[in-house]
Amino acid sequence: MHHDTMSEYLGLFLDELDEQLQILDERLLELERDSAQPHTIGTIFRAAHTLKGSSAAMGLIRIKELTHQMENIFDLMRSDRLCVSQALMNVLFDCVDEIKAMKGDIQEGRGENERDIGELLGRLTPFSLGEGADGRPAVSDAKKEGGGAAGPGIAIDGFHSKAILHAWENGFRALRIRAHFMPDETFAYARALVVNNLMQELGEVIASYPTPEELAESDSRHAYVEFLLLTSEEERTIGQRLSQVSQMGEFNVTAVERAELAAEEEERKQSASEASAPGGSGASAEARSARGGQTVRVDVERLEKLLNLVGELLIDNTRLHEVRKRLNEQFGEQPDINELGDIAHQIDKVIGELQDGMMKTRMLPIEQLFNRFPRMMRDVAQQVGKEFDFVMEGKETELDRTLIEEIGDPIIHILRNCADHAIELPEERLLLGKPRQGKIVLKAAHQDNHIVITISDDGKGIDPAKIKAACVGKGVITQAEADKLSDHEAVQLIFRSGVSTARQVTDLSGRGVGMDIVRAHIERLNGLVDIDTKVGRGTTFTIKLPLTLAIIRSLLVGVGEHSFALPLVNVVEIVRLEPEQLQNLQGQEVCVIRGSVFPLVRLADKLGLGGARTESGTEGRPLIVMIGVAEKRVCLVVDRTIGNQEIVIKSLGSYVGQVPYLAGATLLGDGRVGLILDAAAFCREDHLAFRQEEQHAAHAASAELEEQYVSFRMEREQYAIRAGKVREIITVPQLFTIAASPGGVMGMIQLRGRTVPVIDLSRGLGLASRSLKDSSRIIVMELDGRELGIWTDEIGEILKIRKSEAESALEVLPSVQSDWIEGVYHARGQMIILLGIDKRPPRIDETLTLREALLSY
Amino acid sequence: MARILIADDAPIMRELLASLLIKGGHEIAAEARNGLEAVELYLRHRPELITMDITMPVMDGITAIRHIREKDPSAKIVIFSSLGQQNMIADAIRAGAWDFVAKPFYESRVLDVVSKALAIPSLTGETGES
Repeated sequence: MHHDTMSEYLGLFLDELDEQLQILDERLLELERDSAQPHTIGTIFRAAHTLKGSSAAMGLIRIKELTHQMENIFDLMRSDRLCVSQALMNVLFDCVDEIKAMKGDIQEGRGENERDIGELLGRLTPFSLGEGADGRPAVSDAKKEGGGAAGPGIAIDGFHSKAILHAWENGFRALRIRAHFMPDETFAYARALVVNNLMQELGEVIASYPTPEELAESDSRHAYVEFLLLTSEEERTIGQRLSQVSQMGEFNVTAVERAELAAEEEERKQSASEASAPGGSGASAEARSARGGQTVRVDVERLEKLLNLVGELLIDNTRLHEVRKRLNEQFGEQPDINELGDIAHQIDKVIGELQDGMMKTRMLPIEQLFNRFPRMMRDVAQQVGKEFDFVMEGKETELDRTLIEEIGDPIIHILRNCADHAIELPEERLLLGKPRQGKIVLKAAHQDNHIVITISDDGKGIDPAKIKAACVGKGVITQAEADKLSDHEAVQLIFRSGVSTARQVTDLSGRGVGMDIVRAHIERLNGLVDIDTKVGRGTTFTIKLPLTLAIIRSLLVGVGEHSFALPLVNVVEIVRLEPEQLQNLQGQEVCVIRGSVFPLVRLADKLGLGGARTESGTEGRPLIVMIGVAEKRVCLVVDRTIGNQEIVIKSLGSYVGQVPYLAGATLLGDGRVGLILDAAAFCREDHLAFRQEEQHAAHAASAELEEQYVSFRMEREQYAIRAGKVREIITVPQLFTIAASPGGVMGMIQLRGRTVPVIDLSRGLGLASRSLKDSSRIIVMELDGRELGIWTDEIGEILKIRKSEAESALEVLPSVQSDWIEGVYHARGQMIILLGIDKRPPRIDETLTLREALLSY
Repeated sequence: MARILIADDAPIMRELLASLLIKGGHEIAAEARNGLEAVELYLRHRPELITMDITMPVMDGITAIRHIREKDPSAKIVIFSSLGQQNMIADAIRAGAWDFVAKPFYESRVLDVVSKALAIPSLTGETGES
């Protein structure tokens, strides 16, 4: 065997094998659902045929033999001589699986020879001989071995397209004529010539498949011959004339559709022949595949390398900017220096586009991955006896190819769980008053710079009570801890390792096999996974991922002389702590932010940067960056934040190996190496997480009695809102006012790439409009999934207010007709008005005579 | 129905074909024993159809087809080949035969190909190798 040539083409072959197997899988499913689709069978047939040819060329005898037999079966189906049956479908699916397995062997360098396909061939034979597996004849007009198998139809290439367009312009028809031979035809070649002669009499034949010469080969097994004919005759006439050829089977005559033409020709000629040409323009999958030659396969490594170079360029250009800045400082404004700046800016733009383009070349539709699922779900459904409709949406959503490879396993895991555990048995569902068939929806969509994949089912949902009971039973948490958990928190437990691997939990809750692995996997990709479930109604998993792994948006922070990058997706907020917010709990430093306790990690100590002490002056008021992975939060103490930057991730390399807390490295603008922190590693630290949960639970327990409020001042009055929905409190950034904004909306602010409206409550509170002061702060709340900023003159403090301590608005202020004033609280002789903004955002036009009310009080 | 010329070197085949065609309601215009006779008899009788064997002495069927089509491009010729050699049949078709029947000559097939050939509009000469 020519081994060198082999390996050179093997990669190409395997790629093709992949594609064709995909088509087989997809179309077989289609066939199973809807057996009588000639188009479907045609596609399957061509896939099998293509595989037969290429595997034979590669000397892969077993794959060739298997695909050959499959091709025969499809040929029988296509000519209605074999009907689809469950038994047949199962054999065919098994064949596809076997070829996949052989592909795996080949990829691992074992070749295809280890497998015995005899059994499968044995199972296929009865069908090709016209018997079903049950012994009944499945073939209506039995065609024995040697009956002609045929090739695919004519793929319309650029040359054909040109001729067809020309013909259309001159008022001719372009027809695709397929004439089937009789099953026992022994003179297909001669018969094809007869038809060929007839075709030439009727018009101009621009292509035929197979060519008569191909039919002349003694081993030819084509079942039909197809012609592309340019003619002035009508389809009907062609049909009549064809019927005058003796000893021919059925034939079909179809007009060539515009969509079938090769792409480039179509584009070039589109405008010219729009009016005169018949045929639609809907681009079918068929047409896309017919185009061919429009794409180039590129080795991924080459792309990676290019992307790396773009990254370097990015870094070099940042240096250029810095040099310009230094020159400016040294020599002041000089024409040459300014020009240097202009050039650097121009390069910025070019690099930006280059980077964009490079990213796009790495993007693939998630279809690649999704296409594997219908088949898998079918198998799972059969195995477990469930019935459900599997729907996929957003297949065209594009994301980085490395991500596509990585995200497959977690999705498979969740999907399997949905089918296996979440969806009830059909009878069970009927009893529950649900439709017999369940539904599983897999959806992908872009959201800002992320891709969001959701998997929802309408199954039994996850019962938090059962999860809790199981966790307590397994000793993962204590009963006391379990009692403190909210339902949402309880459900999150399925992501805990001790829980998810426990068999009992699986049986009880119906979920959780390896969910910890799912989460770990997603987190490694800088992603987040969330779960939302309703008992009896179903469950939705939401996976949020960055679009790419190669370039991430990051927050650069400084510790001593070192710079570190934190993936922005993990950054929750940046806070300057006050001394009283720092506490010590069981020997672990923690900080209290808006009433919640978070573990505090001093980066300098953690990473062993002993020399780098915190900058003086802020010793007591450390700057922290709160990072989050899933539900966990950890506050990192840093010296300073440097800014947002897109960074190109470079691995640390094998000589450095795995370094704790580091995910990789990048080059910074000044040419120095910046280390990328692994947010997940910090959040994973068990003792930290444990404490946090304990605190969290303790906090939840006390919440029954008291609620936390953030108080703030407007003019001279104190107000307070519940802390629960408060995301963060920020100093006033640049405020973009909007023309004709609704009353009360002061403007918009940019918050980590999002636009957030800022509301001035003054009017509602009967105060004069606000203006910016040093003490002004904006409270950012999340209401119904949207962010909203509330302007305040000054932030007060965190109040813990027991329900009994507050007087309800109705008692105190009976004249106040607003449902968002909840009550009044007295603290240190001051009256604080509690606003229920989180329950219902204020209507801006609400005219509130609160002051009058207060005065009267 | 139609007047047909039979060209075959085997008397038994001519006999068989003639009886089949007559049974199908056709008339035998003449019987040729080789290609040369076929050309002569065609020009003399101008039948509506010729059934042509390929391997014949003196002049083979393919050559005869060429001669006949040269003189009359509208001649309708159907191959009746008792030899299962596809390439020769193909050559005959390229030479201008309209259709063919290969052994065994089942009655239904023979009458089918003959009636179909008779039904086609007068051939013009565009086929064949010219």
